[in-house]
Amino acid sequence: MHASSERRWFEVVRELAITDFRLKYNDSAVGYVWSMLSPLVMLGIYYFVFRYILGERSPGYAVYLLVGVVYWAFVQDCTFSGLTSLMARAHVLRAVHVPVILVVAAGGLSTVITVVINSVALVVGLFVMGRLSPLFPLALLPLACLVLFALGVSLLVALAWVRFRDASLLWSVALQAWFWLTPVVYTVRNPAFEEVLYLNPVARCLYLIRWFLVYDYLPSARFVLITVACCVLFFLLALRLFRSREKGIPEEL
Amino acid sequence: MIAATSLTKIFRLPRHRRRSLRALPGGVRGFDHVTALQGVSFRVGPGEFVGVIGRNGSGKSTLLRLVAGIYPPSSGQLSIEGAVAPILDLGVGFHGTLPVADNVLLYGVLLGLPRESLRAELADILIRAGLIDFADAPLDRVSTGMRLRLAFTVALRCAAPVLLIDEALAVGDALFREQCVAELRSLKARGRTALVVSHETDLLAALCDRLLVLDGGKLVGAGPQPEMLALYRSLPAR
Repeated sequence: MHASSERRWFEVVRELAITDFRLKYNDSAVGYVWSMLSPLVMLGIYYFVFRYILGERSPGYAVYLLVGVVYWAFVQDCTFSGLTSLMARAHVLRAVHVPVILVVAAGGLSTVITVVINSVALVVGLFVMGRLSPLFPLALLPLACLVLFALGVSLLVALAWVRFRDASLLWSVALQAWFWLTPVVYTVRNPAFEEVLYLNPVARCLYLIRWFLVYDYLPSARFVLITVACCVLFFLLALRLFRSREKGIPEEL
Repeated sequence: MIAATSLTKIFRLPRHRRRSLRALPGGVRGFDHVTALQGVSFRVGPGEFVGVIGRNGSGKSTLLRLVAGIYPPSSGQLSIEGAVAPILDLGVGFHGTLPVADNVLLYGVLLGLPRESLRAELADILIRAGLIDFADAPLDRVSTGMRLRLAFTVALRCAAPVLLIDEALAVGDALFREQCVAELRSLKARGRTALVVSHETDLLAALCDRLLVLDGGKLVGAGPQPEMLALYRSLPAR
């Protein structure tokens, strides 16, 4: 028995993604619940700090924060996933001929599974709280953009790590800076600062997700189109760059 | 069929010990070039099993990785007819915490076997590997020998016409080994091609028609077993 190549690649990605997903939750007592619990714990901490120490008084701040924390957790996991899967599967890549992109894609995919499940939970939660906007199905579009953008970053971070191993440390620092350049935990009242944030594709996706999920607000088509174009283009460029370097990766691991 | 013409592989290693920030463009202090293979030419015909011998570091594994398509060659040509089953690192990708059955599926899929047929033949694979009672147990419960035996059983399912085997048979007990050799011989009788790396001369004698001798990345001999073994033993120490 032997599989044809497209089918084989599809099966490899699926098998690796499922394995990653299982490994992540296999050994822990609460299993999958943990991936929901950790954003919730962060939610509690940020809520306490911003509400009671920094005096955040925006109405509906808890819901605002909830959406932010869920999707930021995804950005964090997904952008690291390429690097982590290369690290974890270096020996596989040196023993079996599998395009490197598949291993990276599988790592990303397992974080996408998580964000999809969490999104369903979020929608149900918002509905129960009576805060779900009727526009909510539209949020799939910015979510797809966020996924593409994060996967693109994951490819670049993985590629950088192959070249110089400090990339993993640098990335965790950069991620901190990026976190504060994204309106995850704070609300923005200064329009000039908002314009600056719009340069950040993650911020744009997050705005759109919140508008569609909670605030029942339909932005201009221009805003949506620019966001989609940015994310798709970025992903395609990252993919191209990765594919052009891919062949040399196994010997550098 | 495998045909290699002046196959060369040069690894480029950064000169400093650790690849850190200094390896950034502009900070490179130069590279060391290590020639792992140099101008190696050979042909393995359909239905032929060819052994590769040579000391540690002579380029045997690099050769197999080039043929498997894992490393691109630095120069030279390589043409292979048919799919390749690389049995280079038995049980690579196994996860000790996952059940035995899941590991069979993962490993098989990595080796290029269709998931459907793996599922269908799962019981048979587990029986042959002697692990039918452990299907749902974590792989860590199983001894190292049994693990390798399981991996080898899965690997033998590959229908690829070209097999690449790197020290894979140094596993299992005497009986299992005999079974492996018998299975490989029957694959050979059915027209498979293989390149077998091993230090075990009796194994090579049992399986291979010819031997290639590698020394310091160069092919120093190719031909029938007894002459090549004599050549291998007469190689000067480096």
